[in-house]
Amino acid sequence: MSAATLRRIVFLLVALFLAGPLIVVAGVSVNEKQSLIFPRKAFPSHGTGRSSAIPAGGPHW
Amino acid sequence: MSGLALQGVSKRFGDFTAVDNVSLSIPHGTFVCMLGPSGCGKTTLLRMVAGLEEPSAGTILLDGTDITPIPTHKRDFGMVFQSLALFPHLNVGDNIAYPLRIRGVGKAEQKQRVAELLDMISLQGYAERPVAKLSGGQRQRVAIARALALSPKLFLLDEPLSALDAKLREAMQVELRQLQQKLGITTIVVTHDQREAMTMADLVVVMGEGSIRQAAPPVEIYRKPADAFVADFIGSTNLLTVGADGTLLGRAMPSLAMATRSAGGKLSIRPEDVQLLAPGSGMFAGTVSFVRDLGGTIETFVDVGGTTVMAITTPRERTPFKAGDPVDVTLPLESCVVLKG
Amino acid sequence: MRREPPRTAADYAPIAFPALMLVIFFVVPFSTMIAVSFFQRDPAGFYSPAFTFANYERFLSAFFGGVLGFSIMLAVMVAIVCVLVAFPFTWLLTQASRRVQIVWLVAILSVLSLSEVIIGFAWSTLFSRTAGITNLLVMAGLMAEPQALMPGFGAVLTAMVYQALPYTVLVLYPAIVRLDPTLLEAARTLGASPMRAFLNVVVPALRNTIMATLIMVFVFALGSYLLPQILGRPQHWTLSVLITDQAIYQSNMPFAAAMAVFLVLMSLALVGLTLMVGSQREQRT
Repeated sequence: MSAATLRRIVFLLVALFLAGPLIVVAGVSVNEKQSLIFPRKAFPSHGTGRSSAIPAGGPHW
Repeated sequence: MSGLALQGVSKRFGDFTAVDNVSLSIPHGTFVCMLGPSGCGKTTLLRMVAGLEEPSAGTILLDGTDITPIPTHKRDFGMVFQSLALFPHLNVGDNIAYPLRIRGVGKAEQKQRVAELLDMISLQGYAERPVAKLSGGQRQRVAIARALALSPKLFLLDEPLSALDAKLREAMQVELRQLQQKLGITTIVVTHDQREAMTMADLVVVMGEGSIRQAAPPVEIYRKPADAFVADFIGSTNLLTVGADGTLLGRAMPSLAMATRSAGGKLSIRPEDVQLLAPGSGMFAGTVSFVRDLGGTIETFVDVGGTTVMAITTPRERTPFKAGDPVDVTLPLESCVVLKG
Repeated sequence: MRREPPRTAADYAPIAFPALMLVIFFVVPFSTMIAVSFFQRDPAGFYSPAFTFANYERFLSAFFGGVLGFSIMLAVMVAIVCVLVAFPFTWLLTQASRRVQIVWLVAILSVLSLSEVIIGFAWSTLFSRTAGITNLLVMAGLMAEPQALMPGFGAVLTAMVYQALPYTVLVLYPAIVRLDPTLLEAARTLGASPMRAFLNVVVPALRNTIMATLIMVFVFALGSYLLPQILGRPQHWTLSVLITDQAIYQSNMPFAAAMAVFLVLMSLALVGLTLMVGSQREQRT
């Protein structure tokens, strides 16, 4: 594999990685549904329940 | 064919032609100096021999084998760079041992070879020193030792001495030449310093604007320059124009008419060959316009009918002229070189 | 340039402004935080002045040890991945033409303008089942059906690498661009293949730069508190997340301050240790 090919592959991969989220942001910015709420109003728990993740270590928790 | 041969080698960077159709053959054991002003393509040519640049056209042969497609790291050439390119993270010994380590040479053998090489460059016992603690001349030697560690087929140096001060540079020139003669290795040095080339080379290759202007032994280059560019670049010279009918400095010279008819009508004579005589006894009458007395030599500038001719004499030969003195100038015809183009 | 030690008070004048700024924006808040970490929480309101080690004692538990360990492990991984990706990339970038370099650097700077929130949101979309990258893989026939790649450790790591990568490239770039290109060429004339020359010469010659970049990205990643929440499960929450939780949602400032002080001390200790190991190796060679 030549140096030029290697460089092209690395550049392409990094470009894809960097551009992915930018494309999403750009796509959503023209979305008609304006339903995103940021910043979040409450601490997220992903439905797993915090009590299972954080032990009841003391009264202040 | 034995030795290195360049056949029609060219290198273009976009629209710019750095090296233009260069052909040259270098027998084994020759010390070659590529000489020329900056930007004449000499470094590019060396880099193509090393494999660091790919020729746009032409082939490079070593002992009759085409080495053009072989990558640099398989060519077995030693190279010294202008920046020396010593590895800053390795000490002197490890720098010299680097090519041996790459080739998988055993530790004990590496150590022995490094000791030999340090001996060769008179830096015994420096193996453990960091590179940063060396003087300019010592770094120079380490770079040379590292390039020679594998006894390469070809030894390439790109302006190797340009970072040194004048005194050290002269000493290193002699040392480098002696080392090359001892090892009998084919060596190519790129330089812009004509003294350096004259000191070291078996063969001087003068380059200008991407092509070879003249390739000859140093004395021949000096005595019989091929064209005005070479004559002017090597040492100082008087470049005089010869008229179509053979007139030189306003005087008809029938013998010159024959010689210059086919060429462009330029003539070169070295200042030390110009004779200064008492008024009325020489070929051309003139007036001294300026005298530069350097102690060892005296440079006398004489105005002959509007053209300045320089003569170099030693104080032993005659007492210096003063500006404004009338003087006669004689140009011995056997010392005049008729130039092409 | 003339350099002599300052003698009179007036000689120190040039540093007065920076010193003042440093005091106002760094020393005062940090001292306040240290002080608060010894205070007592007032269940009714905020906190009341006291001198107690209770806040520190509280997280001397397996749980907080685990969270601290995970935070440090995550930051170290982010730093290593960033440098592993950014170093070869930046080096290849310096080999490219001037125009290509400028385009890339501008693009990288534009990525820097994305905030942590936007990065988290964008990656949560990309990792989702309905609108994520797995849909592309399904389209390409590489995958049977789309999957959700989050929440998970990989998602957190990817987004944090994404966040830190532009900094990593911009920190590495000046050092790499200054590296003498003939070092590599010299290694090649001495018999090293281009890849070997890169590993033998370019990497060791820039060892200090790499070390400094690793530490910078590590410290940077240690402070990330949104990405683990958006993209991770509770077991992927870092100490920074817990600090935010305590400070903002649980209103337990003293405990949050104690954790923050502890985090700062731990990262300082790690950085110091790394530098010490580095300088010892330097002396040996």
